[in-house]
Amino acid sequence: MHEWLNSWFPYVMKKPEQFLQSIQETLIMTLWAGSLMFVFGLVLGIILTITREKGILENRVVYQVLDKVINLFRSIPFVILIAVLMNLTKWVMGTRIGVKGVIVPLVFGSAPFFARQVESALCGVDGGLVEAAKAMGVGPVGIIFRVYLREGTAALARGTTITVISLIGLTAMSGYVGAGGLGDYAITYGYNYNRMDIVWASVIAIVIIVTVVQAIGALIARRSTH
Amino acid sequence: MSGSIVLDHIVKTFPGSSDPVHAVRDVSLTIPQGEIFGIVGFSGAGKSTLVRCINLLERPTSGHVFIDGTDLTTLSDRELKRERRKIGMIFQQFNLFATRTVFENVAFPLKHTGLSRGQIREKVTSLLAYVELEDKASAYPSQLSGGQKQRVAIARALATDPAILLCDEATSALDPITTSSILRLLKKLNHETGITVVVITHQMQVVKELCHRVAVMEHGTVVEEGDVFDIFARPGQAVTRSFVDSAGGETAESQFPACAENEKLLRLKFFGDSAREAVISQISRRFQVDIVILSGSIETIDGRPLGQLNVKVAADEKKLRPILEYLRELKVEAEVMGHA
Ligand SMILES: Nc1ncnc2c1ncn2[C@@H]1O[C@H](COP(=O)(O)OP(=O)(O)OP(=O)(O)O)[C@@H](O)[C@H]1O
Ligand SMILES: [Mg+2]
Repeated sequence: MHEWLNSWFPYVMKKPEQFLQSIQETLIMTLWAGSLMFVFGLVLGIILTITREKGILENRVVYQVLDKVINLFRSIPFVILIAVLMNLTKWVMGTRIGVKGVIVPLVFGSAPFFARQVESALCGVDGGLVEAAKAMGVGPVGIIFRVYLREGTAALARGTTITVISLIGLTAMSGYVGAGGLGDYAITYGYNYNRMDIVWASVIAIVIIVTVVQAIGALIARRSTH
Repeated sequence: MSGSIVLDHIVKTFPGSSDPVHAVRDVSLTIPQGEIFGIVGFSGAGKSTLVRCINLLERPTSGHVFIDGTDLTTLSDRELKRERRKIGMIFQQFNLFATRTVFENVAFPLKHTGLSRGQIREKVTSLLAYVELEDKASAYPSQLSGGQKQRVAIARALATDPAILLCDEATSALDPITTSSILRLLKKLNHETGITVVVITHQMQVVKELCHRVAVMEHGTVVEEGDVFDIFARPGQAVTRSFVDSAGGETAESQFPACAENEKLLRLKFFGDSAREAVISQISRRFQVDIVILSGSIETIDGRPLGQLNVKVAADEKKLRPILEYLRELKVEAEVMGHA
């Protein structure tokens, strides 16, 4: 096994700890940014769903403002977003470099996208169910938790999967602020030195991570569909 | 037991994309407790909107909704929530929660009602027994037939012991036999608990088998209202007539084929126990005319028999007049449907 790895991935095996470290960095970034993205995106998505036209707490102003802000953030390319959020990042995290420095832009880069995923997942919940719950005397909070989130679980799981995968894509650009990760590893040590085995190892690692994320998402979606 | 409904000058106007939609225009209705009240009308007549005003799923543009004397339109959100628990509702599409079992669906409205876990279990079990679905408690809605789904929906609607049950086309998605079984269930429920039932339907079978009184809606207004028997016996409006005709499953054309000149097509209606056959032979003898019976039926509507005969009379205008007069004397309603 070891020999086989040495012959196929000579440069990776020269400094395997570098490879493992960048996997770890990618995972940490994904986990942290993913958790925050999930919370913020979920809240925003719920607000969009209930304030939209014919929503349970219809509110034109709130919906329009949120809608525009989300579109704005979604249209800014991630590398530019890092620069735009520089001061905010520094203020929140105390630094604008390293894994810490990239969390804020990652959240801003993915939460708006996730909010849209949540909105579309919850809009897919049959309006008749909301209606029925209302008729049973259930209030807005009950409808959000007992109808929208519960009945939308499968769609939410799929939306989360898609967002997390695109988030992993964003983490590949975190090298710009010295946060490392697999993307940085592949470019800095692989591409720049023409060491293709490093590039391929990064690809394989990413594919495995994405596959695991997808499998978890699919499992949750399947478990909550009857 | 309570459950009286008074709708007072209900108006509901939706802001449409170009012109406002007048879904309900000034409807006033009184539905006493314990009554099964039908609402019929063609698509877009405003039936659903009107019924959704009863539990304020739709807030009337103007007008008041009184349930047992309480004006719902003046209540706070919190009071309205409590009031809604007294009004159950079932729908054409059942609206069951797909991620919850039958048991959990029925238990859904019982959360935060102060009942203990054990009490909820007991209540749900007895409700499922009532709708004859004890064995399906742990099934998911996707594993049930349409009729079973509607039974679950009924059990769920009854969980909070409502005094009123609103049914928006509850049987429209079901086949005739399943429809009948749901209607029997609703009838039994009304009989045993005195619950007030409001049913929207465009199946006259439903009105005939279930309702005591019926209102006919057209263009957002109630154009006719009365006892089901009277409405079937003497429909006053064109819409009503077309619904009553549809109940027989036949159109006027299929009941009245074209016929030769000097022949008249008559529709005779017998109320109560007028002797049908005797009338025909009497007329035939007395006026020296041939009468051919094309079709006929007797139905029991709300417990009273209503007979109908479609006949062809070999008589011209002049000869027909005394016959019609004689029928009137016999209290048989006759309607000339046309001639060749
Ligand atoms: N939320 C709404 N917004 C705008 N227009 C509406 C809304 N709900 C109903 N309408 C309009 O109000 C009118 C009456 O609709 P309603 O659903 O009450 O009819 P209905 O008699 O129940 O018809 P159906 O038999 O098809 O169910 C229709 O013209 C409909 O398009
Ligand atoms: Mg309707």
